[in-house]
Amino acid sequence: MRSAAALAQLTLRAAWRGGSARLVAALLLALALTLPLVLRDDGTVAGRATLLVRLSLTLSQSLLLVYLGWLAADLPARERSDRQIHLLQTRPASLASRLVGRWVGLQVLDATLLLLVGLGLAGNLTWRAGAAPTDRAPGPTALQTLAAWRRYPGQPDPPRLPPGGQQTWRFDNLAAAPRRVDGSSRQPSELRLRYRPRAAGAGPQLDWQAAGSRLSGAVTASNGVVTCPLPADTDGVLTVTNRSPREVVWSGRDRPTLLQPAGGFAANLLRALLLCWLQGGLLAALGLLAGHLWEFATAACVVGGYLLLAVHVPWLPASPRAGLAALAVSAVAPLVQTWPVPDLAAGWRLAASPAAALLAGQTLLCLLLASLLAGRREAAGGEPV
Amino acid sequence: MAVERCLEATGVSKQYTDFWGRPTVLAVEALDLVVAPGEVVGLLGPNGSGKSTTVKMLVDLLRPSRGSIRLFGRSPRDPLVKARLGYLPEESCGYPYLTGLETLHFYGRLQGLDGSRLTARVATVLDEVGLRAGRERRVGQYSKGMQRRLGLAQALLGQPALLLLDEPTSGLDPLGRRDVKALIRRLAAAGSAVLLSSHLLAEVEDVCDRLLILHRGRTLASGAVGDLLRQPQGLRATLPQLAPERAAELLAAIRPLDEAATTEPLISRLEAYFLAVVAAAGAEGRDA
Repeated sequence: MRSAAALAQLTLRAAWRGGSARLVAALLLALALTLPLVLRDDGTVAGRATLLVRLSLTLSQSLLLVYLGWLAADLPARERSDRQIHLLQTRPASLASRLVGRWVGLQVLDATLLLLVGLGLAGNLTWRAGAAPTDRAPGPTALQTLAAWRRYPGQPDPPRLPPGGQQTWRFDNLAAAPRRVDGSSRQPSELRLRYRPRAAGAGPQLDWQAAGSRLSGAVTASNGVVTCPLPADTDGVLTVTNRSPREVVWSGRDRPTLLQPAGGFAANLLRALLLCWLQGGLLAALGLLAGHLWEFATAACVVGGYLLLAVHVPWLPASPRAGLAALAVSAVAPLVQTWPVPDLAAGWRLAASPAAALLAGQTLLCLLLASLLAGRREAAGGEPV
Repeated sequence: MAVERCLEATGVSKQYTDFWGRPTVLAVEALDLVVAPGEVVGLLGPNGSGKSTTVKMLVDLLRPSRGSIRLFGRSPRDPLVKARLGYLPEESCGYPYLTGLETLHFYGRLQGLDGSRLTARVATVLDEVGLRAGRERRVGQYSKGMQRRLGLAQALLGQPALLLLDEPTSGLDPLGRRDVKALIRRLAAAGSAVLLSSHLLAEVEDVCDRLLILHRGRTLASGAVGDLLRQPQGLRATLPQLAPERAAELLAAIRPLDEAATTEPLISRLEAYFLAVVAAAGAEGRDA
């Protein structure tokens, strides 16, 4: 415990006094200040707020993940090349405690920088996004727009719908949805569907029906997200007809999803930041593993390669129930489940979220592997002197 | 009761290999070494003779290809062993962004010290190595000598029963070397075992009780310093106060015993002369 704390403190000092943490903090601050000025939205409060949140978190988290991965790979690799490992190795502190200390230090740094991002974002939404909407029509404020939602993905999950095709989704888990406190009825829900303009055509050409009632008249679209309010007691069956001349393709989380309000913006933002923190934790553990096994250049390639994989592997269903294949890929690269940032409007029940559990599990696995593999190699190997 | 051996290496060899596992360099071959408490043992040898490899194997930075190493009767990997060990590597390797004081606090915490015990111990070792004045400076700004002193300080933090020093006086000025040698003798007198590796013959001769001479990984000679250096057939008589004419008489008297007998003026060692000059200058400065 004592040695882990010492390593955590050393990690923070290395990041701060080395100047890298100050540079990243300055970049994050600059991002928070300049992004609202350069953003081009669709003119609605909801659109602006959604765009601001997604862009802020995406850019900040991308920067943070690259930084954490680099730092985690650099610190142990440099310790070996500068021979400081010789003095660490001859102390009674175990490799596992040193690894945990390093990881904790990196995560304290990550949490601090994420807090900066969160404060900047909340400040922006409060003082800028909500203050000057370009549409004069009364509507939800920015913070109301970004309230947390519970998420009920439709089943089954066909990836594509041909022109003129029709598909029915069932929302099996609606029966388990929480009712209001008075027990009278469920809260009003909302159907959300993200489509890719390049696949679906110029605009939303979908005809939705729920419980036998046509709801197409109430469709709104913002930044590629089609939303449609549903009555409180939707029976869980939804039909979508593709009226577009092109095939509609959905992947991963873009499929129709029923949402129910579940808390305010602050709690939702906190959930998102926590998930970002877990992502950072995984990158830090992976970087430590690579940095303990290889020299910096190789370790950085491993971490960078993993990040690229996470970005480029197609979106997977968030739930492991989707199948063994999804589980297998998730086990290899859980970051693809959550990259680049969780969808704020989709609401994450973090404690139960399979993605969060996978991230935490993979982090632990990386640290265990580092402890086992790095403990087997010679600290001063490759020096025939 | 048998005295516990601090260090016992039996038949230790180290074969380096390349990426594919093919043997490249045989750095150490069949080394036997024992170090008892209170003993100072020197590893002597030219560059590339396997001194540093030997020390690294003893502290578990390298694994021997053959043979066994026991420290205090246990494996060098045992945390209990590491708690009783002090190690000064060949190259100074502190963290450049930490101050000297922070460095010692960091290593002290890894050693298991904390609170007032740690503070007191850090102050003691800073005094022992003469680094108190520079303790608030960043290690990156230290001179090579200061870094060496810091390295020695971290090795002493845990009050080690066995101290392994790889080139301990490298980079130190004569005054620093004298201090380190005195420190090593003090530690040995207090019961610590010291193994030091060096290629400076005078240094080893001054402080070591026993020595091993390595060459290309093999032990060429080992034993007590006095035994190894003694020449039974030769004799040296030292007469600090002798007039030249009396020296001539002495030579004439002993020439019949051996035609090769010579007399020559007594010459001081440069190190002793330098230290005397510096000490004299220091004394004058204090008087002024």
